[in-house]
Amino acid sequence: MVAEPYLHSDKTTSFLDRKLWMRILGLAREQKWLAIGALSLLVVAEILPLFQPRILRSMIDGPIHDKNLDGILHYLLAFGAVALVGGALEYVRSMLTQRLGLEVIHNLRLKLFGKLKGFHMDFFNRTPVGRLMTRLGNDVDSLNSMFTEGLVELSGALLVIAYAVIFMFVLDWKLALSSLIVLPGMLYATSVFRRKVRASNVRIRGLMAEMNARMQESLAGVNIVRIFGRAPDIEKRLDGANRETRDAWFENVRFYAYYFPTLNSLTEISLVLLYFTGAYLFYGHHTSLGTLVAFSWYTGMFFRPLREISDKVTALQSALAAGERVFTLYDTEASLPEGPRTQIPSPFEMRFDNVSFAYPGGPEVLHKVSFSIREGESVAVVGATGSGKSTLIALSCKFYLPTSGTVFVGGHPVEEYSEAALRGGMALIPQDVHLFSESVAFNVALTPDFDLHRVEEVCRHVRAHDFISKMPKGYLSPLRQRGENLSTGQRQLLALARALYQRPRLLLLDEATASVDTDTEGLIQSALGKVLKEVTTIVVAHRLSTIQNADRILVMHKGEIREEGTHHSLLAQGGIYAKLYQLQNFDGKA
Amino acid sequence: MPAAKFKLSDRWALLKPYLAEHKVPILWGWTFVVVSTALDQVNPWMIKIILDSLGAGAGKAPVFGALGGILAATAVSAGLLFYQRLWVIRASRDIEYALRRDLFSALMAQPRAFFDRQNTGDLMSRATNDLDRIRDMVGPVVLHLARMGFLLIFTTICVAMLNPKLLLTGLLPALIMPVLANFFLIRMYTHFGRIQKNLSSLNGFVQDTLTGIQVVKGFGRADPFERKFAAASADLRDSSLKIARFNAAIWPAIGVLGVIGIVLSAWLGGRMVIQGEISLGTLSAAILYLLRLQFPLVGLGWVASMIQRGNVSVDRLLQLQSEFVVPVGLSPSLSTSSPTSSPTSSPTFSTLEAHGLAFTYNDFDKVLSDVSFTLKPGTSLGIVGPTGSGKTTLLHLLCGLYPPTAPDMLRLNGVSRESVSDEAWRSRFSYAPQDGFLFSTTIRENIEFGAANTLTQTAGLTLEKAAEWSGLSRDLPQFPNGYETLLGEKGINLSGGQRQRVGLARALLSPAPILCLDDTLSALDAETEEIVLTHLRGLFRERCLVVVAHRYSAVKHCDEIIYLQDGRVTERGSHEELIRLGGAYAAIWEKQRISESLEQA
Repeated sequence: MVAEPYLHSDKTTSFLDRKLWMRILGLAREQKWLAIGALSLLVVAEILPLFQPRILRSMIDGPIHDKNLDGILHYLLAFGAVALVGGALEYVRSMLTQRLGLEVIHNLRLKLFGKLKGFHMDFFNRTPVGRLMTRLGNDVDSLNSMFTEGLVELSGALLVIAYAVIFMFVLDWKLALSSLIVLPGMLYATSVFRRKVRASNVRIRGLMAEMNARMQESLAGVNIVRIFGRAPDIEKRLDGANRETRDAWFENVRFYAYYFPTLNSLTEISLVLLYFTGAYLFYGHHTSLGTLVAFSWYTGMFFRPLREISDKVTALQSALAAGERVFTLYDTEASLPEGPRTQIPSPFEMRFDNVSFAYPGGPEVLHKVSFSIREGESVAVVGATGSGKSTLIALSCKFYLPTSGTVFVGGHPVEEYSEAALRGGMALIPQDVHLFSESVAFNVALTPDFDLHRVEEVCRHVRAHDFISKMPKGYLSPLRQRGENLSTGQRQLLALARALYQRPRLLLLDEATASVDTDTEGLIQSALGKVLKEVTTIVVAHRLSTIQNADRILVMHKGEIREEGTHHSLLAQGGIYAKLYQLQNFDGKA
Repeated sequence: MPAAKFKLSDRWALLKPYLAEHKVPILWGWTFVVVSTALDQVNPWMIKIILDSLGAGAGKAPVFGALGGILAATAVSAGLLFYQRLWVIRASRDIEYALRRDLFSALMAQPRAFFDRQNTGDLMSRATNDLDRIRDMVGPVVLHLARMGFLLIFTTICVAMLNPKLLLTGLLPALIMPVLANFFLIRMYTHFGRIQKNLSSLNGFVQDTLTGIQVVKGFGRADPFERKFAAASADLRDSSLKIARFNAAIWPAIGVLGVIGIVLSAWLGGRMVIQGEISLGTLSAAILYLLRLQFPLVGLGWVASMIQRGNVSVDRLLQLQSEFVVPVGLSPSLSTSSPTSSPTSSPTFSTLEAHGLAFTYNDFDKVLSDVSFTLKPGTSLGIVGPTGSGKTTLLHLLCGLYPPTAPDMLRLNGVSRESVSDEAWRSRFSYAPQDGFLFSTTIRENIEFGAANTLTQTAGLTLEKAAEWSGLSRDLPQFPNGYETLLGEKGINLSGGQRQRVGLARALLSPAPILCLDDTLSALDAETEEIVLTHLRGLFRERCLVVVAHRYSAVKHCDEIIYLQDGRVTERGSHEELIRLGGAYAAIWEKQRISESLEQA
């Protein structure tokens, strides 16, 4: 049985998905005044330019026709005023719109991150980082264009069209009709174009995803490509995807190349029809020259936004799909229950009560494990690889919940604690030390608001101070995730310092010293020795030198606790531990 | 990383060869732009004729003639528009394609050391976002720029022909435009750079956090990380808002300037009409011409911002190019048109010698020093030692991923490393890595990835055999479509052990004479490991095996075993000799023997 992957959705988005629309619009709830402001400015700002042709018409038919020199001036002042006010409103509207989009996606990013941080480890273990990056990056950005280009500008374009139609019909319905007669042709051309472009866009998206995936993994696996001498084939493979993408674009370009000249021609034809009708009306004294001039202007105003609508709808469509994906992540239920408890009671105590556990879709790896640990105690867990030691640690810090049985901390089940409270009181040192591409101090404190004094104190305590102070910027030196600028041992010491920094109630060590050379081990051991005396600790180890001084030792075997006791009592027992101890003696000889 | 300043000539040098390749369609496209823009000037002129004829009460003939003129100009212009768009935009898509192809080849030619300094996400963003922006710049943007430029010229001519005074008033405000554009451009460039930087650091932080999520969560430190994320996100928002101001201002500003021109012209023109100096048709045509100018000028803002974005992206490519270790130019003249696999006829192998081999990543911390050994066909070398002792680095060095610190430390068939091309050197090696990096394609393709070096499979190993010997065939029933099962995002995810076994099968299929196993057998149980090793020994009578292992049973049969400690060989010899020596090797061997018996208990 294989567990379902997360974030998997085959749903195709429909443009008419009302629920999705409402959700996306709901994202702007906190910015509703920005949105209302932008939209109402839009309503006013877009109508102003429509008055310009009218003013021109009145001027032509009025003072110019009457040869009244002084009459021109106040028409021109009105004209200029309309433009200035329009420009100012447009500036404010544009600012509001862009701010709206940016604020919405900033908030959305925060919400998503907040959601992600609560997800359990199973989610992260089974979801590629790249996929989460796309959700938080590109998809969220697409929603920005939804609010700016999509909603506001699309509404703007629609408004202008509506205004233009109204103004034209008010001015002269016959002329309006004759210039709008090409509209059905335009709508038909647009619908054909949209259908083709949409199919082409879907194809292109698929091809691009494929190409980018190939590129990404070729770069990630560059070593393998190198050693097997396959760079030419890999390049050929990418070239295929690259070429296909380009060719798909070629086709897409052709659609656009057909569409825009068609629209242009239809616009000009409407002008011809306008003047054809206009000439007859003029001869019959049913219209004026000013009206004709105004109409030539209006047709331009009407047809221009029409061309933009198609692009805006496309942007909107891809934004909707992105919205769907973002909401799939947002709706993912992958958190362990958060409890109300924010404090671990003193004295510290943890108890496993008949705990069994299986990873999702996997076999049971812990069978009815029970043990407890009290304040100040150190408990060591030993056993062969695969005996369930690391799982025990994972359950201790609530990375997973038991499939049956309960883990109690301070007398309360772990479910009752908030994650921050529980884990804030624990420190886990995993096998592989992950360093963040931040400063040394950040890496120790795991927060940007570190207390440098405390950082130095713990680093001195674990004897990491010497090598840190030799770095160019001391505690503020940047570390690199992949860079080789620290040795394994130095990384381990940083991990130890990191654990001490937050004054943990419980320290969890997962074979922290399994993979270091003997010199470094000595260094770490002495640092650790101090720590073990001070903090309640569960330590998992292959090497018994670490744990001889532990108050109690649990011997795990095949998911069960087989032996429990002190070093001496277990030796006397002559079981699994005694054999392991023999092993340690060989270490001593080495 | 301080953004190096690149000159216009650098940018031009990068793009020139690509543009040159599409000289013909681009030049024809531009020619068509010129002609179609000229034809666009016909309409207002025709409207002038119509209005004048109507005003003068002339007959219908000139009106219909003018309407016919509009139709004719429109028809021709539509054809030209179609082709200019098709040719120029397609050329830009092809340039994007070629840039991506060449960038990728250049990246693939970079040594391992280059990749240690770069992160994949950043490289990807150059190969995607930046190329998109460059493509927009050389395609739609220049097209638009050309259209605007010629429109400006033709409109100027037409209005001047109508009445030179109207030209003066109409275009006067437009003269401020270049000053305005310059003002905006400089500021926008800096802001785009900042946005790009903030975007990178936000993405970098998210990636870093998600990769280290176990630490973040294990310490209950999600909140400070969230705060830092919020700060990075806010920085991005704020830098984007800075540019929003320019975006918001540039369009209305240009629009208002245009209207001022129209108002001035209408004022002057209106007086002239009243005084009978010009006709109403002339004034109307002039206004329509000026109106037509307005929108392209508004488009200037768009063009300006797109050019700035394009420039930032070209600079990012130049920056990357300057970091290349192997100086491959990003131009079609330097890279071959279509990559073909080099014909390496079955690579010969008689000896591989290491003489005092040393290596350092950063010049002061020695990872390896003074490692020597000789490999011959039919022999095997085991490499053991604690983690961090340099085992994997040694393998990478052997396989030619890094160069040794000094020349002549490695020799193949008596020829020093430096006189052999990387490709020829690597063709001698096959490698099964620790982490088992696999591609998201079928299992079959992943395994056959190892074989395609030469068509003749000298080993006579089939895919099925390789799968059997690597222990993979036992996993087969778990794969829904057998060897055709897809891996990765679109398919199933393999366990660590399964990945290792696919990696091993891939390595086994390679005919290269030296097989390197980087702790590849660690996921096999002792029994399977023994079977695989027996097979390997049979296979490697003519060839040579290098095994890195934590579990000593994997190296026990090797002809020679070296024990590495801090990059130095501290013990060496056959398994029996090392046991007799009673050093670190012997101690750990004993420990592993006991723990194995314990596991079977």
